[in-house]
Amino acid sequence: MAELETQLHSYASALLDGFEPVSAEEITEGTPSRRVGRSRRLLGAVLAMTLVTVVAVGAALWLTGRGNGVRITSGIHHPPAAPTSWTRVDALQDAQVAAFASSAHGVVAVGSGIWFSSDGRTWTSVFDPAELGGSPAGQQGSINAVTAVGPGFVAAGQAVDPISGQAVAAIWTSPDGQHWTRVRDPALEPPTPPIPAGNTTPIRGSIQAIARGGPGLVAVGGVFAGSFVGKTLVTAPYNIAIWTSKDGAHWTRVDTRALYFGGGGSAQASLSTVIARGRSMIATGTDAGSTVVFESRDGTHWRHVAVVPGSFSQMTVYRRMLVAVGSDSGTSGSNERAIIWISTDATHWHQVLVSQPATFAAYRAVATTGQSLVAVGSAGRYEPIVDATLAVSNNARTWHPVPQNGATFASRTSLGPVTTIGSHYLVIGVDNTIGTGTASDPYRPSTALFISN
Amino acid sequence: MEAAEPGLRRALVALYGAEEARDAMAEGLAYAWQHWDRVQTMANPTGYVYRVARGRGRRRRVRPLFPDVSGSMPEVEPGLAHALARLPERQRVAVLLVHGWDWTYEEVATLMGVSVSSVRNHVARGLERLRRLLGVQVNG
Repeated sequence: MAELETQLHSYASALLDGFEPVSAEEITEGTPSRRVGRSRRLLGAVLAMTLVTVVAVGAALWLTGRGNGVRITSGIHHPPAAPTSWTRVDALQDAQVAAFASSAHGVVAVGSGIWFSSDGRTWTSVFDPAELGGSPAGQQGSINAVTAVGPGFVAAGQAVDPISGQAVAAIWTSPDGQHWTRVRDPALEPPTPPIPAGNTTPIRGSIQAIARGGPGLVAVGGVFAGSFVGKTLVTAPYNIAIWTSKDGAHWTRVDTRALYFGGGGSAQASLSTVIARGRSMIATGTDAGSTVVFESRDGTHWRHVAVVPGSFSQMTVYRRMLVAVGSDSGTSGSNERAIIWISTDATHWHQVLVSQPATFAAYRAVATTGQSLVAVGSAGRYEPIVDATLAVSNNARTWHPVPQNGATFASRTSLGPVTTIGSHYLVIGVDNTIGTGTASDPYRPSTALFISN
Repeated sequence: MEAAEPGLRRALVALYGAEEARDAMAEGLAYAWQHWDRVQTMANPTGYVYRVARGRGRRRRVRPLFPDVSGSMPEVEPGLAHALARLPERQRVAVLLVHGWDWTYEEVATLMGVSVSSVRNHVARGLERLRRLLGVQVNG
């Protein structure tokens, strides 16, 4: 038998085999990955007994409170630890921001370009929007999603091919958030049905969301799958698309034919959200007013697990619980209600907050520090202008819509996206009512950044 | 924390074994993320996060779990995994980091927040106890 020190060396190497890296989502969303041990179950039993006592006392307080005209909601009132005040920062005024991501290096905002900040307050444009291609009259490129990978980032969206003038799915990587390189991989530009010359309406491909998980990264969106008679599109134009990558630089398109949906009158069929929860990946798309939910263990093999009435805009994970935000209708413009759902298994979803009906009411984005959650969106678009919508929670189950008294988000007509930096939230506020544009287009949106105090 | 991750991973695997270490690391890194304003200014953030993860593991009464690999690694004593699990915590971490992953005494001392001589003692006592538990003669 080898010397003890030699054995230790061999044994230590074996110990690290199969140790799965902790995902960024588990870190940023504070979700320990696995099981609850016996001691936790024992603790749970003690907590359950405590809860019974607390509820009993709470009920007594509630009854007492009613008699005195004092309303104590849910037995005992816990004011939210979630943010209650915000500071406006004059930054990103000319940016159209679609998504944020944070790493140890700082925060990245993507949309009509890419911006970087090390502190969330001072921002620098680090990307030439001309690289997205396109023209105001034709298709335009955009960066729709970004995720942190270690200290670096991977961003995704669509870029316009300068020869065909058609947009294709595109990925960019950065080691530090400040220097970006576009990935050129044939898997991102799969062959599509022919599009008649001169018809630039349908895009050939687009990525809507990206997340750590599966073999490393999973990106979701749609690719063109329609057919024409002459120059007239006669079928639904898109089918869902999923790509996976180990390193962000090399991509593989997943065979999603068994998952296709949206043929029944849906104008578009593409996946719009993806997120990792523990070792599972959850992706969703909207079809005729309902959200279709898929789950995968490896990013490659997916199964359909749920259809939820309503439209998910974004998801996050809070202590192993899936939290989705959106609205009750996929058809914007009618009277909608902004909704927040939760699920512990991706199959059963429960509405935990439903707003009053309003034109274009929807929660657009959600983020968590691991302690609290913030959901943001809008409620109303046309006159009279309704202020932006924001709700906070300490547990994902109970949400507190923040009254809009005009103080903080005054003149903001919508909020989102939102992200976290340390224990603070960053949220973009957009104002569609200020005439900052030209005479022919006076309602050019203006953007402001808000940081929770 | 990206640069610190490999070291933190080894330290927590030495503390709890691979299975529990992953949960502990997720908790420690999540804590660091939530308190990044404070953690980033620390002289030894890795050691701090290690101690946070260790403290949380203690609260959860995590028991170290080391797999027996003797079936696939004949050069390893069949009782080594069990013996490692029976070592006092600091001795186990010091022994595995120094003799398993070639850390210096100084690196282990920085991680644990103790003196180099303490680490030296932990390693020596840990090896001695391992040999006793395995019924191995000195140098055997």
